Amino acid sequence: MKQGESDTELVEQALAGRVEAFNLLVWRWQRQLYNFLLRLSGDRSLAEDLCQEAFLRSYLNLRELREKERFASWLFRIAVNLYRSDRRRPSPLAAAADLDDSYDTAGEAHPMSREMQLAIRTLVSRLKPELREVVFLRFFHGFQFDEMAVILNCPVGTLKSRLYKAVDELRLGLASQS
Amino acid sequence: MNCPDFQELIAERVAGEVPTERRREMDAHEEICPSCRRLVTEWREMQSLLVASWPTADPALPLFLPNPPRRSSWLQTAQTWFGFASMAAVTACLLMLAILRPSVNFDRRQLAINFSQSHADEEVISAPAVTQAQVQTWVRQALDQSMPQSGEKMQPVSGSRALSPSEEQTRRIAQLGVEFEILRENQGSLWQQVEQHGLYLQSAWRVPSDAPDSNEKPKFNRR
Repeated sequence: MKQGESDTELVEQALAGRVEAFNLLVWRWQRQLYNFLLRLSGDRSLAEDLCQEAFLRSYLNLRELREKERFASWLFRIAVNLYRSDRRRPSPLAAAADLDDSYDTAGEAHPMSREMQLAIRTLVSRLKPELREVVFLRFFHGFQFDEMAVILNCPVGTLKSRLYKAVDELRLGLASQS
Repeated sequence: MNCPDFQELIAERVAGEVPTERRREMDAHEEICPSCRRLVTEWREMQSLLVASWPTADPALPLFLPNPPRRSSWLQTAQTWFGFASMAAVTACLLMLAILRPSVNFDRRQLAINFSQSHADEEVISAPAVTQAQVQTWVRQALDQSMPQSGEKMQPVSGSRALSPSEEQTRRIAQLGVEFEILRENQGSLWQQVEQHGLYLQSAWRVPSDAPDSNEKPKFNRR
């Protein structure tokens, strides 16, 4: 099985009974999905549980996926719904305070102090949940607006306005701190 | 392009998602509008700060991976068949033990397993019953056959003088002692015969009272 196969091809192969194809999808998306859930929740074990559950549900319900080229959006949508319905969600401030030295910062373009990290995370955590979701999906995971519309089940216009609002609030917050 | 149109697409511009023709228009506007240019810079800095504040992490545990169906190799096939053969051999041994039921004698010197003993036991179990009354009858018959001979020996001498009562009593006691000795001798010989013919009398004592007629000849099993 080639590594360069698209998600669509892998989904079709998985539907045809090749479990290895779905394994490749897991390897391809697990890091992204785990980090998205980790940023949302700030809880590593919760993020792992939700990530595992999301992959399991996607595997079990793979036949319900209509647009096979949108596997990632569909997977993230499952994860967002799981996170929203999970009662173990920690508070956003607690999620922001979860600074861990195990993060790999060696390859980052802007290495920053822990105080600066904490300040930015605190600003993000004060955003409304729907704004934070848009910020994470757009800036951290690079989803386009039509993909985010699938993930968050929301019109593109609404998502755009949420993103602009989130950036404005963050800019104002940073300006007030500096 | 004016400022509202530019700012409408600023998110796409920062992400590099604007189509080529539209991008040229935005480039032209950015050249002449310092506020829109500053806005683009702020968005880019914001994205860089956000990404730097939350570096990427790896999950500590391996995530869900469905098990692919196993492809059978010759080694797996051999292992499977070897497992089945082992199970069949063990089952056969257990069946043989259950059917043959060998007697196992073990002392410090050697271990002896006797299969023939088990068959003998089975035959004993299936032997016709012999009751205590039957054995007593056989003993009595044997004594009756032997008694005339002994009775002849016991006959007093005819033509002798009449004995006194005390002498008569002494003679009677002596005769009884002789008879008792004869009885014991006969009984001993009978038991010897019984043992020689391999009778298992112990099994006979356990048989209930619905035994066959005592006159019927017993059918004993021989070793």
